Amino acid sequence: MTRQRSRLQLLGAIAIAAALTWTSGMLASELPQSERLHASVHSAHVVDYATDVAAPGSPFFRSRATYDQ
Amino acid sequence: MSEPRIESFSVTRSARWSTALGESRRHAAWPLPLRQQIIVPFLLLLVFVAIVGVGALTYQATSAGMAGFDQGLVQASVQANDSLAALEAGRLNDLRALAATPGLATAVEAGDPELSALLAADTKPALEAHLVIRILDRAGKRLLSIPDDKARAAYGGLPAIRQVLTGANDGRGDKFVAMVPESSGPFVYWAAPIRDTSHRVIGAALLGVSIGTIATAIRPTETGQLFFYGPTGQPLDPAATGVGSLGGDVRQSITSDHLIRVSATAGGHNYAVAVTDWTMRGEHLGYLGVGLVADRVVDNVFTLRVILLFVFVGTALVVLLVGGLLARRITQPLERLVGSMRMVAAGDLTHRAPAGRADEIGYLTLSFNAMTATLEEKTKALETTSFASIEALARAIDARDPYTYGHSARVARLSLEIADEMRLSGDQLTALSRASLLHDIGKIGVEDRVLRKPGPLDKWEMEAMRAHPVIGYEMLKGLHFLESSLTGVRHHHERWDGTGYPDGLTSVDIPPAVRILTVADALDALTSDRPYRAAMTFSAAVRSIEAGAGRQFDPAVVRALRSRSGAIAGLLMVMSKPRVMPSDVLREPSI
Repeated sequence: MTRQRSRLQLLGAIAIAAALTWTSGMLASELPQSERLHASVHSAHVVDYATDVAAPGSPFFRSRATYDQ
Repeated sequence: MSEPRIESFSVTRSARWSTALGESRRHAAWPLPLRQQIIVPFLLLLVFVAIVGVGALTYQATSAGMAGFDQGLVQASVQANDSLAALEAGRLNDLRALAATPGLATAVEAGDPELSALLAADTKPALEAHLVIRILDRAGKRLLSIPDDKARAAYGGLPAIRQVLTGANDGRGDKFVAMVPESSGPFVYWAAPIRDTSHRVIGAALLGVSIGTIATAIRPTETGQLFFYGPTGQPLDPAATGVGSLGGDVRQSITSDHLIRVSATAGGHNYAVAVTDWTMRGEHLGYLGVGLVADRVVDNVFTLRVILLFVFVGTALVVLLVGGLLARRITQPLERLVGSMRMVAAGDLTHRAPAGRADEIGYLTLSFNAMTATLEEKTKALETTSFASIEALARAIDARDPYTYGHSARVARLSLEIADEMRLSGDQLTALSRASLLHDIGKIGVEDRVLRKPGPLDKWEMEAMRAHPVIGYEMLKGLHFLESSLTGVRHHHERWDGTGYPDGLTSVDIPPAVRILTVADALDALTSDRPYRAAMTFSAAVRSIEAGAGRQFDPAVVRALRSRSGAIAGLLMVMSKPRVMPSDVLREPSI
């Protein structure tokens, strides 16, 4: 009886240790993974907010004139 | 039954040993068996290594897996930023076209109810492109919305709109951009002034698009995902549920030429996300994350974790098995040694521990055996010396009375002869011999006038005489090596029918050795002179004892006496008993 209980305790201890190990891996995989990358990714295209001239291609363009016209 | 005192003695010693062992275990700092004390630290170390190792390996594997996405992330990020710039330029162009609608300024200035009719043609393309159009008056009050939703009534409080309505024109132009929280989520609005013919600002045209629509429009790949974050790092797209915020350290690390790779989960997928800053018209609107599905990395890490777990459990079992076997190799000889110690502690000084291997425990066993041998030798010497002293005392007591001189020695010799016939064990013979030599030692407490009284004893004198077995017992009971002999001292005047003293024991309750002592005592007394009578002949004495069989004496002992009568008679003759004639006895009928 004592031997069986001792084995059960041992298996229980291994199960707890395995659960701790699994949890450790789970937490590690959930940790924020941030890495700094060196690259310039912004578009070189400059958007012009000054002009009032609408270019063709807009669905709202049709045959409208601009203020300047 | 035959050795009650020995058993009792052993139990007492064993109990003492067990108590001592229990005490030591209770006071031990770590009450674990030695085997567990050997294995448990290794197991704890293994668990520690497993937890830390699995955590570190998992983290490294995840990082390495995510790093495999870096090149793709940079490319996707460049593509997304280009797409975003193109979208920004396109929406701005749409806004210019919208603001230039002929008649718009007049309708806005007049508050013309036909404003919606004027822009009716724009409804369809706006809806198709998921765009929102808002026309505001000079005060920022909403005049028209396409689609007609439940958006806020006034936009004039927003800084960017206010600048448009005031006709502000910084170095970048008179059109502005703003991110506005609407009920369906955040929208990016591009705003342009509506001017009358004299170029006065009389209202504003707003073209808006939701963050979700932008995210869908510029998604880099089919499986990719865009994540928009506000200036404080909170996710903006309400459809992207489960996306975490960006921490301050991540936000601070982002510069124009540095992006940060983070991991994120959305829609049941894991993503490696490259985060850059999100700027329009020089305004920092927040952060843009470009994510690529990284489920394969997570799956690989999961597989790695499963493998590591199996490796850990397998290693733990191997450690247990090997550790258990090694620990057993150490503890088994110790357990055998402890067993031997218990036997020695229980009084068996002749016991020796089995020889072990030629290691420290084997050396300990040899030392223990040497110690036990010395202890046995010393104990024997001590017992012999002690017994010789006590025997001398007993002889001195015998010598007080000339009629009982040499009585104890003769009783001892006769007892051994009868006991040999009854095949008593060696230990019982030793106990009987000692009991016989000391059985009358209690007479030291009986006055000489009583002891030497030539006539019959009165009641008081009889009581005094009858006290000698108990006196002798009390004198000797503290001596462990005589414990097995104490019954003989106390009970040698008990009778088979229970009428003896001091305890009135009956038949088999009287130990066998004591029954022999009683017969031998009676035989020597009957064949000795007394002040009040002459000694009986040996044959008469034997007949007298035979007459008492079943009443005073054990019949079996009397039969043994009869069987050995020749040898016993010879002994008595040798021990100065001239009245003994063995031939008389031999002619007697058997009992």
